Amino acid sequence: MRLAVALFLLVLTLGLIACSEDPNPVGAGLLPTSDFLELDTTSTVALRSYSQTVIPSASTTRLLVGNVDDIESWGVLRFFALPDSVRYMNIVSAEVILRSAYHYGDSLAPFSLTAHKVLRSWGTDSLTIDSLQAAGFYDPAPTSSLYLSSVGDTASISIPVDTTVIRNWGTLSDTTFQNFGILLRPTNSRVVRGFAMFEVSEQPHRPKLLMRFLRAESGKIDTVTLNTGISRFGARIGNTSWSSDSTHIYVRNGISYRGMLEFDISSLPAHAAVHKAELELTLDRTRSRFNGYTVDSTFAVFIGDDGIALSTIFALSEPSEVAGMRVHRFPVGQFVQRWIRGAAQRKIAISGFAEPNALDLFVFHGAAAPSSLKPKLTIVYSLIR
Amino acid sequence: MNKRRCVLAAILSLLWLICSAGFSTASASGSSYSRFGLGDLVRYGSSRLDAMGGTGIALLSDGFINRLNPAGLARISRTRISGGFEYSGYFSSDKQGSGSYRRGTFKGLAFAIPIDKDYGITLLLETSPYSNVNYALQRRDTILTQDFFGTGGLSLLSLGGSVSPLNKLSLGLKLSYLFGRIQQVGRFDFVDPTFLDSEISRSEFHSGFNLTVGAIYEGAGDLLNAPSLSPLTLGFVVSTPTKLSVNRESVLTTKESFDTTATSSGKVDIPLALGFGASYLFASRYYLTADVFHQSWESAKFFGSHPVEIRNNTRVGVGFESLPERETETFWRRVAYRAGFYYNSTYYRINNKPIDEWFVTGGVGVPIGADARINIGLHVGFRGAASDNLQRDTIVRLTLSLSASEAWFIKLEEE
Repeated sequence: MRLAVALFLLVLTLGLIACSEDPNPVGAGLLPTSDFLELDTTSTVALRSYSQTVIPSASTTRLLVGNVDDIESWGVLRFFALPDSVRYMNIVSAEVILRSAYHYGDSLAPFSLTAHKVLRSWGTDSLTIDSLQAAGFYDPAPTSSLYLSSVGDTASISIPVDTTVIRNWGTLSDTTFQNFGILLRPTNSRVVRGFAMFEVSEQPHRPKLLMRFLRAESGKIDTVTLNTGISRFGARIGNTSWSSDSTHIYVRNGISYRGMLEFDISSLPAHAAVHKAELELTLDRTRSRFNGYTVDSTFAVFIGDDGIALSTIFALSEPSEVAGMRVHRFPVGQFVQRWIRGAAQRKIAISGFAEPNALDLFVFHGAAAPSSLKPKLTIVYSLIR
Repeated sequence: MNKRRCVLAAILSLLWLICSAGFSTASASGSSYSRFGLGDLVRYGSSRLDAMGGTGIALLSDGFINRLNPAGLARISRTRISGGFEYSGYFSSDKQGSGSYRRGTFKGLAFAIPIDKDYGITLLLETSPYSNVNYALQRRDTILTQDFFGTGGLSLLSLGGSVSPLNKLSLGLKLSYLFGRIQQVGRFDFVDPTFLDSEISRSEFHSGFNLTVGAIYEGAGDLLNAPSLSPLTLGFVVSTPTKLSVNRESVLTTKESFDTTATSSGKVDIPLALGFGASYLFASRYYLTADVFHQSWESAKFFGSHPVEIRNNTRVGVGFESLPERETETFWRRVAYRAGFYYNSTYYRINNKPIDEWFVTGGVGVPIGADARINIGLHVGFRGAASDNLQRDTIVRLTLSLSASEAWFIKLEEE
């Protein structure tokens, strides 16, 4: 019996030390060459390029309001968690406080707007400037107006709100809802201002609805502050010549339009493993419009089989100077791998990094540009045997 | 009570052996030669036979389950179970240098249930390894590091039995389901961080059936009218050729994606295998055994073509066993002692050079109860050569198996 136990322990010990080990070069010479990776490289230029409008992302950290050149931008915001009791409160005054966080245009120019009661329910995912300006979306009679000779880049502005509008926001019943928020309509002409919205990480910078009301029992003034809600802006540009320019692709934040590129990779074998694919876009500085807020970066976004950009598959550009030109490079290996595996669309959308928060314009040379400036795709691959 | 303890120890050991099977699949630690064909072919008859140079096609006795030849089951008188474990160490060298690997593998489990002792009718249920793929290689240059791993292998799940239709003739039959997955992985790490590190994995699942037929004849002396040959036993075994169905899948994995790049199916030939053996018992205590085994891989096709790295496999071995004395109180006299040698012209032909191996073997069979035994076998040998861009493996294999019996399904004669 003792022998059996001893042998059992021996087996156990041998089993435990029989572990895996790291690979080493001994015997690598036995492997057939087909096992090793053989890298090949191919380059191609965009078959076609164009620009198209899109509805920008629903989530924004800035509400852009103002007019500059041929750009106009309107904003709308709604505060949550308004107590039902506001309908019966003796509200003395109410104001919306916004903190400036961005400008596009003349930063010293006067800024003015009118505030309007919104009459319809709305969501953040599909609202455009057309829907903001549609008849019946808001009450044309302003609840208040604001004129400021200038707004500092980190200044807060206060927009008075008619107390009857606030009282009206109180829930009338379980099925009737009146709090659709307020619309900010710009009346200035030389600047678009951006205000920090509910999504910013710094809580003090978020919009506030400050209400002062008179307590009947004590006769004292008390305040209620709300700082949660949703917002959305819609912008438009008058000049639409970009849409017919085949030599360039236009990537405009905020408004928004994106560049589209189409490639032909039929020369790549079907059983290829893509180890690197890099898209190069050359910026046309003279046509682009940036300012101090611009984030000099763009996204390449994969286009799904239905022609819609898949926001989950993207690549961020890495800009660099090449022979005096600004070049954005995107690692798009995953895109090309999907194309090889039979993706129906072999297109890439180019969008701005700050698409939902700014008005920058990136203009890149397109498929009809001189050959050295065309969008170029370089692919390093190997054959899977 | 003592018997129960032994049975308990046997069951515990077998459970451990089964659990240890995980080591063989989780690790990549073995010879680079297993990259080719179906990997290293495993020919395992039992730890007893392993210690006797892997010979035993003609062995017919009560105390073990002969997995080389189903006809060898005909003498089993009590329900028998056996399971094995192998610890192996590979010390490999080539022109570049040397390295070592270790691993533990499960050597299968077998049940033999006697139905009728007079007619040698015994049923067999068995699972055994058929091949092992285990390697881990690396090639590094200024652009990338390429790691190659191979794991898996084929197994057999067999149902069979034996019968003795004539006094000195035993026949056996075994239907085997061959199955298993072989996975080969290439991992590519680029020096340039802008490249996508990737892993290409090719997985092949094999499945198919084959039949093994065996015979053992004990009447050579009578046949030749030579009384000196009466202890001679001759054995023969043949395994039918089969075509394994193989489903192959290639997957490309990067940190950004998981992409099934190709799926296909095809056939892999397992060729006809023939084995001849002889055993001679002299002085009623000493066995001499000899086997020749051949499998015609030269004509085998893998996915429609013959791999250049595969050739015919021929194995020749001799073995010796000193049987234990039964009527003795001395422990060491109740131990069986075994030794052997074999030469295996493996089915590998790499860089157009045949890969052969030579092994010396030895071992003991240690009694742990009335009819239970732990068999320990040791193989030490060499494979290949370090010249011609090949690899020389020095291989040490230690096999342990437990063989025990119980009086299940035995009809007791009425008084």
